[in-house]
Amino acid sequence: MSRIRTSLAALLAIELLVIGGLAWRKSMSPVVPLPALREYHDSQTAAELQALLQSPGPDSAERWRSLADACLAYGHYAQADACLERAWQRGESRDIAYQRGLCDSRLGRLDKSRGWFEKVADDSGGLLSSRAWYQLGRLALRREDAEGAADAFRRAGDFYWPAVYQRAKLLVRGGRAEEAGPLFDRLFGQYGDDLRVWQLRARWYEALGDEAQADRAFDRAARAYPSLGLDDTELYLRPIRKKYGFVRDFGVAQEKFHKSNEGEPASQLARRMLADPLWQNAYLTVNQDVAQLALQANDVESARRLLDRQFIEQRYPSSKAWELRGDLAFRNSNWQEAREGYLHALEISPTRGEVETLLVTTAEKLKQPKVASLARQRSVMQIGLEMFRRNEIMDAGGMFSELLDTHPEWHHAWFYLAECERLRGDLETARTYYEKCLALNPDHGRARWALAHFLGIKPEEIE
Amino acid sequence: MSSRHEESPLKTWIEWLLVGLVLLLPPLAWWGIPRIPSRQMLPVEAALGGTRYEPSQLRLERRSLSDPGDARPFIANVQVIDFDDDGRSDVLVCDAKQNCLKLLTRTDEGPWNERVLATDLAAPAHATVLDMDGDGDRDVVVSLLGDILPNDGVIGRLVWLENTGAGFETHLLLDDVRRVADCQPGDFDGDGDMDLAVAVFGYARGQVLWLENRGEGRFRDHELLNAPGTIHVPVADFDGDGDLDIAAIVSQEEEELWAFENLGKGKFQKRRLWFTINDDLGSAGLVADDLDQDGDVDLLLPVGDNLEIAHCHPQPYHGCLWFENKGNWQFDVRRISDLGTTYACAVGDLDADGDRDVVLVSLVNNWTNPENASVVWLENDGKQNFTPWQIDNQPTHRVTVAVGDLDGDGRPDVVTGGLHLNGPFDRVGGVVAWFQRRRQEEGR
Repeated sequence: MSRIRTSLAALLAIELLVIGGLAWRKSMSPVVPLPALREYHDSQTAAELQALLQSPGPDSAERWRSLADACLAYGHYAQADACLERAWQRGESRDIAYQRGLCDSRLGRLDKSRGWFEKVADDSGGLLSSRAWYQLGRLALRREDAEGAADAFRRAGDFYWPAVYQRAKLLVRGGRAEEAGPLFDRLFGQYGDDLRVWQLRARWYEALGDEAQADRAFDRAARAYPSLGLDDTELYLRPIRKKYGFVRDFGVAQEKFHKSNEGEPASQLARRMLADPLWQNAYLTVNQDVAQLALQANDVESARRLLDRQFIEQRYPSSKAWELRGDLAFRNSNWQEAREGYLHALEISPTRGEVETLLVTTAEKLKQPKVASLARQRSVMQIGLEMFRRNEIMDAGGMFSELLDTHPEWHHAWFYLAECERLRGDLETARTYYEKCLALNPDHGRARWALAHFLGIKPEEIE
Repeated sequence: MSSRHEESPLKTWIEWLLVGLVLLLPPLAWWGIPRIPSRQMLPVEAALGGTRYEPSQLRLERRSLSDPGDARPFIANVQVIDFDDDGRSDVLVCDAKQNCLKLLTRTDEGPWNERVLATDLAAPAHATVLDMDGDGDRDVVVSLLGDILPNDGVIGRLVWLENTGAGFETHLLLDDVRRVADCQPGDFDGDGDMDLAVAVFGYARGQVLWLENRGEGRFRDHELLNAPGTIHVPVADFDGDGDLDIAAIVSQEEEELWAFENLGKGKFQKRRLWFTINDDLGSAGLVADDLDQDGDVDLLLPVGDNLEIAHCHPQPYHGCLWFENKGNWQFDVRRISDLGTTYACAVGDLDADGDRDVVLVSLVNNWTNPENASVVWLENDGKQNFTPWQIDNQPTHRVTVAVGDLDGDGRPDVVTGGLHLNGPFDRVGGVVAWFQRRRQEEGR
């Protein structure tokens, strides 16, 4: 028995030692003073950030950097600044200096920010160095120092594309457009479909006095998409926000449903949302996003309650919310209510082709062939427009032709079919279609402009 | 044997106590250790940006004109106007969350009455009151963003709410464009009817248009500029030649101030009046006013809209710029305030001393510091030297402001609207006014 007592006493002593050590470590472990998290976040995100910032952990530079990331991503800049200061004390590094530069830049402390980036920027040609030079260029722009900006962007290197773009932009804006040719050639080689590059190219031609080329570049920009990321701070922070709280869980639930048709996570999330008094802190469309997922996962009751809350408590009768109300009614074969929901959704956002498709079915159920027919036409038009804007000219032309075969009164469709023909190079046919558009709507400004362009006259001369 | 037997209960009791402690300590520690306060807090700098000023010498009393309930309001625009011609000022409100146009009217009893004029309007950004059809009543042209959040889609519209006496009938004036932020009327081609200047903000793409009135509600669109982020298009005779010109502030890829000089018969000459290479400046609006009362029209530019950043913060260049019209399309620029994330401005003679004062509001003036200003007014000394005075530090997140005599006492009041997109949500407000009260010295 004595041995048992001795063993127990020894075990207790070890426990007390360990607990004492942990308690001491906790009391001595520096923590970040919390911002008023519940004034910024939903309950779950607030709880997770609180735990993250106040749990004891190694007093290492790496940990403080990671906490600073979380604070930066959510705009808690004072806390981020404190974490970075601690990280710097625990082990100076170029990475931390770069991060401190970003934080000070966000805080509007431009000189301090410059000091940090200057610690990172060198002539090594490494990525971090290029990024630091780029940030130095941006800071120079913010101080309206064109020469400093040009120099920093140049030193970011010939293959750091955001800096190449900024150099070209500075030349165009600074009255030195004729020097920008080589930069545009390189930008075009790398980002030939980019929206910003096309827009800048248009401004370049304008600066060179070549209006015709400028018009062509603006025309092409209308069907281009952004692919050249310039705001690398935001690109860096956005994924961090997806690692915490409600936004992360929404992503997980969505993925589980779409990949393996698993509805329970979505349903659980919806119920949690309904119970959270801070749900409105998350983001504007959070309620309808969860309602849509819940509805897809067949949790009709949660979806209904979420939508009711959106209309009454959040006072946000969005097009999406009306559409989902229509969907709820659709599921119950309540065609009249579904139709009302879809009509409201389209009244708010008439360009939502997918809602038109739903309206077609609803109107058919209600035996309203005129409503169904009009919705079908609009749906075809919208699909065509989306293709056109993605620069899928052949397919878009097919949709407009299909619509005009049965409904030749659609002047918008004639205009866009003309645009398709122009872009395919059939100028005579394009001209005919512009004329058809103008015959239906003589006030279609872009059709007049395009036709006048062909005829080599001024738009006001067309009658 | 007997003595062993006597010791046993105590020893057993001790053993049980030891067992209990050994088992209980870990969960207690699990519960308790995280609750031990840290003796070492990282030092956090309290005042990291944001601006605050001396309290206003004018007596301005805050009052909410609309009850937002538990919702986070998104008020895109407020205007002071006697909409119903009853001799009292009303407040016309674009609510970009409720997707509607509202009219707030003053009742005899005191509270303000809220009437919804039109619903199903996708994120209205601005309402322009005019007699569009010349039938003697007030119609409204509403600029619709389609989405208050950044969106480059072709989702904007311009609608005409025709006053039918019994209500408003909606007519579409312009579609197949990106987000529309503003519309201003004027007879640009001199044919006696009302044309429209339109700011298509878009996001990555945008335009400035003018719509030629062709009669019977038909308009023909003409592009004046292809540039993203046009916010406002104030109309005035900027060059003093007797016709109406258009100004426009571009704020996305570039930060530029443009003018479109009216050459007559619907012809315009495009002029870039000013630009900066600081494309983070954050132009937030454009107001035309003869600030120095020298007979020509100047421009005021509030700067501080950095919403392209998820959590924007006051910057040293935020505030308000005054473009003094020097004639012949020359404008001298001067910074007259440094309010962090200035989002809107309005002009009026607040202190009744005969000159033009300016009111500014802030979207995100670092609200972690509760002393930072949300509404300020700039007192004009008559020579356009401005002294800032803090009107209030709440509610926060103000994006629109107007000045007018709301209570009919002859003194200009201030009305603002809030856009609560991000936290903190501890000082939320929808349409909130500050009524100017008689100063003590006046009372005596």
